[in-house]
Amino acid sequence: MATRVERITNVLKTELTPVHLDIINESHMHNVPKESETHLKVVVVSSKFDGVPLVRRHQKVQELLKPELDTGLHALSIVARTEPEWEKSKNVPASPNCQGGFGK
Amino acid sequence: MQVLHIYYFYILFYYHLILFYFYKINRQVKIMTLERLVSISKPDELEKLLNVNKEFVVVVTFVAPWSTTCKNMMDLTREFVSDPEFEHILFCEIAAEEFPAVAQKYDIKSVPSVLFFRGNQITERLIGADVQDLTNKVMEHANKGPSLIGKPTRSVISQAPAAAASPDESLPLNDRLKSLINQANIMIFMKGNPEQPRCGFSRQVIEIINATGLPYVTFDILENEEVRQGLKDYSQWQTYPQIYVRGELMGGLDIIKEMRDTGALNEALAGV
Repeated sequence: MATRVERITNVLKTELTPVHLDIINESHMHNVPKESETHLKVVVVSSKFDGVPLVRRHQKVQELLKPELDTGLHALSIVARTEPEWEKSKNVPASPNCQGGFGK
Repeated sequence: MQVLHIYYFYILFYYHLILFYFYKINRQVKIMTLERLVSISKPDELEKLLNVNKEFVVVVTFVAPWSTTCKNMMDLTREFVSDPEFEHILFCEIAAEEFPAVAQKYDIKSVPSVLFFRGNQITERLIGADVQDLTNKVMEHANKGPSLIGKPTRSVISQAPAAAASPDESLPLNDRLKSLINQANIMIFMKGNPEQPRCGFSRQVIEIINATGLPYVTFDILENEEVRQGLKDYSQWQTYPQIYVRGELMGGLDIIKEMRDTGALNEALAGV
């Protein structure tokens, strides 16, 4: 069975044909069992984002990952940039620790 | 000789018939006992169960089904439910990962965790897979329930929802959501409140918006499961926090942060 990260990689590669794709498992920053895939950060650079407002880009990524969000993906951080934006800044901001109850 | 043959036939026939019935009865009993264990399948199911079973002891095990330590506790719970001695106790099982809001509400930080409820109050909290500890506590509670007559209610899903109280509740969900996101020029749907954010993402959003010095209103989605689920679909945005400016979704933490860093945030909030 494919891991969550593998499944996400596949769906984003197919749907967004990204020039850069990085999926970072940040679950270890949280109080969840080892090998969890509950907290992920997705960095995706695609020409399909050209001229698309930030909020729509994120909505697109969330829509593609909805099956994962519905089955235990608890926190999803997204960096969605166009190629020129990515060339200008490859800085990926750090995610906060999710301090609430489950996953601390 | 012939006669003896026929007897053999009858004996064999009845022997198998009896075996078959034993098998059937056995299966029936198993199915009946398994029904006594409630697997939570809806976000608000546990709350409803606790409400209707106030006079019973309710034992709720928060688990991750894939975890082997949880498996021990789940097996143990199945033994409890098949024991008539504990028929006045309602046993529930809930996959903590599938219902993060419920886990959060009861402050579950790791699995397995077992909560004992009485009269809607937590009376006992066991953390970890200590089989002996759980057995002791269940035995202890088995003999001191306020209601040893009657049996707990196990199904609440099909029951009609509680009567709507405020006139707002009578509006269709989408209308209510629309008026909610328009309640203030800056509306933040978050986990917890500005004084006590229940999630690091929500906390950072509050910090960023606080820094603008602009007034805003927050809504704690952990307090309202209907809004929590409804707003996800309404805005096609699957996570919280969500920030709305003049009724329009601006995004979550990632976007607010990015906008702050590029200076676009001040621009977007100008005149709000």
